[in-house]
Amino acid sequence: VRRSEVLDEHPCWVYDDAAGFQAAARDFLARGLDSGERVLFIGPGTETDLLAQMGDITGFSTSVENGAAKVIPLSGAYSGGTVDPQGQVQTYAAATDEAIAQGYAGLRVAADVTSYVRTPSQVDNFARYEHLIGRYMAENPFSGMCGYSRQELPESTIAELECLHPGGNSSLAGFRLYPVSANGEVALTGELDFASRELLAKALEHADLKPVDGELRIDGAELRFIDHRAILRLSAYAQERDAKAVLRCDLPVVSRLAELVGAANLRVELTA
Amino acid sequence: MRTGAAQGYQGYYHEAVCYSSDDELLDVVVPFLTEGLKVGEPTIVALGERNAALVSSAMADPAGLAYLSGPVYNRPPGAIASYQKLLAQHVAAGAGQIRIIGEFAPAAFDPAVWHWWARYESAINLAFDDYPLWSMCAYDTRSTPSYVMSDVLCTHPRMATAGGLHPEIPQYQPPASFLARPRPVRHDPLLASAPLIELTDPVLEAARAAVSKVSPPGISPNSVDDLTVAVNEAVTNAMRHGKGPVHVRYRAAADRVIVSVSDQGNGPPDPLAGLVAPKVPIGGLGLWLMHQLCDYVLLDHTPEGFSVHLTVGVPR
Repeated sequence: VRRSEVLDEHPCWVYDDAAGFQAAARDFLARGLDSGERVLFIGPGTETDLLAQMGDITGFSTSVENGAAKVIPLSGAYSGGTVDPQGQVQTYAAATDEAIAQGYAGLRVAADVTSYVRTPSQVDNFARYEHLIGRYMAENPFSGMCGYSRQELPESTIAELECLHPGGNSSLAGFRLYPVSANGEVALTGELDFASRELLAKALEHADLKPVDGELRIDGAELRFIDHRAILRLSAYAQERDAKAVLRCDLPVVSRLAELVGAANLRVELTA
Repeated sequence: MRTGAAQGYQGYYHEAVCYSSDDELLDVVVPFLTEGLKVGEPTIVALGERNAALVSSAMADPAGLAYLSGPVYNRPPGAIASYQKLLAQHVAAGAGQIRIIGEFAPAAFDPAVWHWWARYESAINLAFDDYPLWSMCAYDTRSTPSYVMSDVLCTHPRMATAGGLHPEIPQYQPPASFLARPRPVRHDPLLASAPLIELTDPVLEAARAAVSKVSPPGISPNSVDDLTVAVNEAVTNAMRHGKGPVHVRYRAAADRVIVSVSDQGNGPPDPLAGLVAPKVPIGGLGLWLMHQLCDYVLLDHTPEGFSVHLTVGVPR
């Protein structure tokens, strides 16, 4: 896995004011234009507003004219108040294919998605989408920055979504669970303890991992701490799926802990 | 079916053998083992090298004895778990009774660690009570310290003596009362020094991070990781079940690190907590893990509340 690329492919950007997100989006999209990608900026407001917000990117208006850049008022990009997770992935996959066909290196999107996660059912739905789009990003030249407003969303909602991204500018959940391959292999990074137990359970539900050859493969190379509760949760989760979770990491203590608590459906593979 | 002195007894028949000469030990142990082999019971010797050799050479036919040694008595919960596993295997294989003669390595009598072995001797009365076990714990009265002997009398329901007698020990206290009773505890002298780091109501991540900050180079990375897990569990327990504020104090010397987690509550209500893995593996595992991962754990009930002192390295 090209980890450094994955980290940059799907940042979660938590912002205090719209100008802050726009500045981050400009950086993110400018890197795309520099690499020969097609870029999209999606947010609330009119096309004129959005164009003005991206105006500081050198050559942005030329890019808009020649088709390398595009701004999309929010309602046009997603199917309505609720995102169809699978459908939205297909939409971006088609747009990525089109960009490639037209000679671009890939497709890159920055979107303020605050308005899609205001109710619990919207959050569940969008969280599922975040995971699925992560799978697509892991193996396709598509990248996306997701903007979430700290002013408009409760911290618990942001944490629930943040932890499904490989990176970003916040650290509310303490851990991250994100796809590193199209078939659903995931990376689990950071620290998992009593404080994050409910978030982990939700993240696993949203990821809805499917076993491959009877295994749920979890890359724990950047795992720094995992408590026995999270170990047992992973094991129980694998059991619910008639699978074995295989956690690869370089922490011998995780191996000892899994053995002590009898995590029957979790195998720890030490890499160091 | 039970045989010998434990005939008709249900559960764990736990005896102490307090001897003052080799002959006295052999007078009790040889008939115990010989009879076990004769009636076909799993008959196990968990003695140190010297006494194991002494006993087997005194037996007319020692073939058939099984020997246990070494890591069995590494840590109390590990010893309990490995014995439970062994006993369950014998029962599954059809054993009507299992006989064991055991003794601690002298290191267990070190005042720095005896407290948790005393808790072990008490806890096994419950922890092994699901099995048809008859065991004798051998103590040499010539070399066993008096504070150990006094706990031995409180934790063994019966004594096995020369001449085949099995009198009840009047000082015996059931685990629920022995383990719950506040007992004078011996503190590591390091606890008298000022902590290197003291945190009050820390977030878990900060409580964990401080462990490696205070750990000296002589402590192995594995031990630092084990202590980090133990501290995480202790702080989690104190925050969930204790009464705040939670104080976490970190102390270190060249050969050990001690982290003390204190709250104003009463500590765990279950006297077996920490020594026996809970049957349901969700919740209650924290204290048991601390006991499995640390080189010493001291539960300290004080008028101010409850503290758990977690040591990796060499307890003193």
